[in-house]
Amino acid sequence: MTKGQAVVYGGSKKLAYLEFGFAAVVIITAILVFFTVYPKIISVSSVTTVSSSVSITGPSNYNYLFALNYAFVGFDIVIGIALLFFGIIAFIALFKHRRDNAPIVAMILNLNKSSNPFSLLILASVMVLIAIAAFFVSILTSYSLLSFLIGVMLGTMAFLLVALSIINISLKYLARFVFNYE
Amino acid sequence: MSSAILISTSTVNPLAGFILPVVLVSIAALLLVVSLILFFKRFYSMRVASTQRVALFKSNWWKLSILFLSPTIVTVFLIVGLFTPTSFEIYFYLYGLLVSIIIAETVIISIIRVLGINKQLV
Repeated sequence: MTKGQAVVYGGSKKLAYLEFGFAAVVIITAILVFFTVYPKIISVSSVTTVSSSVSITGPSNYNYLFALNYAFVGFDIVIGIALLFFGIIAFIALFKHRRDNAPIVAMILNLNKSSNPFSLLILASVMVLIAIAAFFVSILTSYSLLSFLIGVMLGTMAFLLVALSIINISLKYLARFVFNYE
Repeated sequence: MSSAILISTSTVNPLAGFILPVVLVSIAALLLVVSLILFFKRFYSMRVASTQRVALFKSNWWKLSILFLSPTIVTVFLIVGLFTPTSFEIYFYLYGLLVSIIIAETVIISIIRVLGINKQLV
């Protein structure tokens, strides 16, 4: 394969192998996480609680709501394993150019107020604050379940936003410093 | 009617397992928002001034890469929490969030300090 062909195909053979390996790792983790989370969901949602309070509508089991937490945690773990790849790309790019700091210069020169991937990070940290407010509501209403679940969902959304912004930054500015296309 | 199920399903001490980490995480997250805004302000002003300031990163390149790897720290804590028994997992989830927020904050504040060094660069 000549150099020209490498550019046409958007990368080298090494890059293709790396992509396939990454996809395989993510799929294998997703399967492993599923087989770890699914028994927990089943065991939590089948717990029968003896409620001392008398309710009008009769006893009903809301444990399946608590079991949803495990689904969100599993989702977070799969996203986090996917993020590890992009973090490693950033690490290699910064390590390769630790003398001339080319990736950081490229990042700073391309900062743009209209489309800034970094602004998603501030949005994500504000979402973490809202999630913590939901946890506070859960504490104040004697550890209620629904507000705890809302906090977990908001935290998952914030993690997804962080993931999107990091993938955006590392593909836009850093990946070309790792793989040399000339 | 389903209240207090969080504590009843897990034998966690409510103060050390839930109230204390939530309070600490809220303080740390507030500080994180403030320090992120300062970080971006510094970066914007740097772009206008000069890119020569980036030379300050010559020995601090690993700080930015730790910032990129910080979601992985949360993930490690989540994986450890998934494989521990149900009674202790909430410790890993909340304290893992706290540890990673504190690491990210320390790195951001040190980057702001690096960029704020008033050194004449050639």
